[in-house]
Amino acid sequence: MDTQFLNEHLLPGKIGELFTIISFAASLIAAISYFLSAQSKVDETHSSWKKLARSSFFIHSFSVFGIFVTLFYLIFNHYFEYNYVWTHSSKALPFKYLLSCFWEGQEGSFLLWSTWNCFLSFFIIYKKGKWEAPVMTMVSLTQVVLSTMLLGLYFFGEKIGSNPFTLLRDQMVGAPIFQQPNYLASILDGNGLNPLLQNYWMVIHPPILFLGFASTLFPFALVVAIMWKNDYEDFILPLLKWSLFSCMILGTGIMMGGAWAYESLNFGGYWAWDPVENASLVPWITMLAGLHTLMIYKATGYSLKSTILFFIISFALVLYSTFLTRTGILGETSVHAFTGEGSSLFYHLLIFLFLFFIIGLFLFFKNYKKIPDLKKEEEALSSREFWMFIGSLVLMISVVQITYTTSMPVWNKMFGTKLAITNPIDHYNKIQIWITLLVLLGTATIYYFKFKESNMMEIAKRIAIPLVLSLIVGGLITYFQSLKSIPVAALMFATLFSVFANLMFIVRTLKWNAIKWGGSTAHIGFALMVVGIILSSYNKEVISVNRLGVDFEMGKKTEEENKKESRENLLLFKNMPVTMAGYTLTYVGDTVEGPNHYFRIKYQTRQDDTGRIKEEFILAPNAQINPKMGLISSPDTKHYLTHDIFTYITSTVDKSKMKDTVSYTSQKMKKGDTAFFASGYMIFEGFNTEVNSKNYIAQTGDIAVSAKLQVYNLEGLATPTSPIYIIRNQQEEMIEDTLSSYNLYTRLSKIIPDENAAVIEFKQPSAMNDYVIMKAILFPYINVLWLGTVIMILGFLISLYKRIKTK
Amino acid sequence: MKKSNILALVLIAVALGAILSMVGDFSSYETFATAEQKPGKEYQIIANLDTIENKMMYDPIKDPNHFTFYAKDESGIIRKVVFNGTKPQDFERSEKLTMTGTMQNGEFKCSKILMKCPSKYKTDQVAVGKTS
Repeated sequence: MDTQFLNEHLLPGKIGELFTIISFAASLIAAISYFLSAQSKVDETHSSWKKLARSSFFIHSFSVFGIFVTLFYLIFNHYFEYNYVWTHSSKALPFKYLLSCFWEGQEGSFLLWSTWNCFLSFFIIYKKGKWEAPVMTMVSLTQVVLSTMLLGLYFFGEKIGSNPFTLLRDQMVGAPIFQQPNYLASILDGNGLNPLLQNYWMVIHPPILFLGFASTLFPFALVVAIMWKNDYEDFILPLLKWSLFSCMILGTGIMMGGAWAYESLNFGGYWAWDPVENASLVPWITMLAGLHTLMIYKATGYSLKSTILFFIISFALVLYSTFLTRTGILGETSVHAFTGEGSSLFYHLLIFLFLFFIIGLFLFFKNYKKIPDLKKEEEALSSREFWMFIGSLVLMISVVQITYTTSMPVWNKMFGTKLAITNPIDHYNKIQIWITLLVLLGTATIYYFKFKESNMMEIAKRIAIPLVLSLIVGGLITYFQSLKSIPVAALMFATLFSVFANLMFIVRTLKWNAIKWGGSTAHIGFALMVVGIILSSYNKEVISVNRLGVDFEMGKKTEEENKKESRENLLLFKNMPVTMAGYTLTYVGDTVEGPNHYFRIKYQTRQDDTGRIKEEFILAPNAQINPKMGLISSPDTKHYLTHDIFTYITSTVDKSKMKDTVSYTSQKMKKGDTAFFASGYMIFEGFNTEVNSKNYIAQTGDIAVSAKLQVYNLEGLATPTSPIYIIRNQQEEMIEDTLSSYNLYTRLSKIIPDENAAVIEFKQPSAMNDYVIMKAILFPYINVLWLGTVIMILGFLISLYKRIKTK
Repeated sequence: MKKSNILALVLIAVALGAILSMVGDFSSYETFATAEQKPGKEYQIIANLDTIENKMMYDPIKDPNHFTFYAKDESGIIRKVVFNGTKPQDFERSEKLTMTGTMQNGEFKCSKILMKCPSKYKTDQVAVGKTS
């Protein structure tokens, strides 16, 4: 007999499941009827199928939205009887992070993707243009596949998709807890959201990135549409708009990911060539290549074939990136690889990928002869289109190299090898640095070339000034920033060349016609990003160099570098100042707020001559010990205009395991004698018989004496402390004095009148027990990177605006 | 042949050349034995933490950048590993370690450890509490 479970909220789940099924069925009907509409030659059938398609797509979108709202309702109400809610949320989660629960899980992120597709589709449907039927066929087909990801139904023994409304008791069949009807009463809280995702960037970065991913579908669907209908008219403008939009949003999403990594992860940077990062970067680069060849086609009639291929590849790469990150195939190579949902998802995504890639390629080869192409005469080396095309090819080299290495786990699986790169960052950098150099030279000069043919002498004359300027400024920066690597110095020169040449182009040619600034602005932004990357990463410096312990042979050239490399973690005892890179650092205490544990580290700088405090600030990096993931450490960063100081905790003590085992040291002291302890020393300055202390309340008959002790730290700063000795009712009593800044406990345990000496007992216990180990990194000029990003995005926005204005 | 085609071919050749030239960056996961043959060369080794016979040592007060433990590689060889960093949280619980470093004087000096813990991302245990 089935158990009747108590207190479950089954209705919303049923509604949600209903929505998933309707959304699947409606998308299927939409796909078929859009297909028939696109195929029909008769106007009447065309529009009647389209009518059906539109209403089914509307129903589909409504259901997708319904799934979204229902799931949010479940998460918002903490209905832990649902597996998704239990796995990805908890009661303590602040409201803003309830949305983040969507992107933590696989179901939620497919749902988000699907929602964006629906949203973007309305622009196509609203336009009612001639591309609606074929484009929406591809969009609906994508929605069919995405809907199957949420079905969670069994077909021939294989589970297809994973339903976000699965109950916990159905997910964990047979767990003993589900034998009690009232099992919900024992599930007090959910599993919670991955703490690394509890960051404001994580509220905004995934939706933007997914919007970027979703947007790549539309250029793809458009090029499929033109090949399918063999109609090569009136597509340039919409294709241009979609690809500009896609480049802008995807670029924003990727860089927001970088900002998140910089702010809440502790690998010390914004980019690590991690497979997951690469997988989102690569489609963006191909999209850029496609955008540029499309401009060539628009101006000259060349390069349509490459444009089509680039947009097909972009979408295929988005699907490939989903495959890489979601199936767990990346395994050991990535920090944020997700665990796979088993083999069914693996094949599901593989089918998804090949289905669309094959549709694209099939149409491409089938219509290869029909795709318009100018019968070229010998093209001029002095033409803009020639160099733009070369530039796009250079971008593709970058794509090939990144994809090749990132796919290593895939090659391993295919060929049974076990290869890996030992040092991924160097590996990527040494190729990509040259590609970036070529790209920058292209962005610097391309606007000076004219389509068809240009006068080389004139170009030379016009770029002379920016060229000379960038050589001078590049030389100065290379010298003052001591860029000791030739490729890096060359890259620095190229970035400046691009900045100056594009600025010059705006000033001299475009003038105040700001609507035309898009391309140049985006190029300047990109160049500035590279400036920021060079300066912040080449001169990035770990400033928390420890002076304790032994050195390590780290394979570096000099002893100095070896030392640095092996001693990047600094130990700070509580309240004991340590100097580091011109700062005096003190670990002053910690606070626990919810799951977060903040460690306050005080940074001070002093004036050289007077020792007066010039600057003081507290950084409070968060380090929580998470039962599932171990130490989760998020940095705290002091932002200056010219550099950042990035601080994070690498290890802490578990105070609960500590015992106060330190015992008192006893020392006989005469006036002027010194006693040493770990972090300083103290001098006995004599007795005081007029005891006046907040620790001591006088009673009649008391004999009270205190010892005057001056405590010095290693820098010679003095603080007084005075333990008290009392005889009260013929009993000896001691009143301890504690000096909290040193964690020093002192007692006056005996007075020896004959020698005028005192026996002082002291201990400094928990200073050795309470400490943090931290790492601090200085990032110079990182703001240039963020500034460049904003300018680049602005460039895309200007271009997009220009195209929207064009009628 | 058109100039653009020639240049495109040159670029493709360069790209292939570049990729092939980087074959040296790739290495298989190796064992301590291979690393011993070429001291000083960087290898990636997959191993399990060995705590049964040998203890791990980490005294942050003495040196926060010195953590030693013993690991058993896939061929069963046990070697002392010296890591120049802090001891990762829950290191004891790790199931599998991917270590990058070089073999020196019979010790594996490593600069990077990736550890796989049970239930790092997946959770198959329900936390059960009593209602108060």
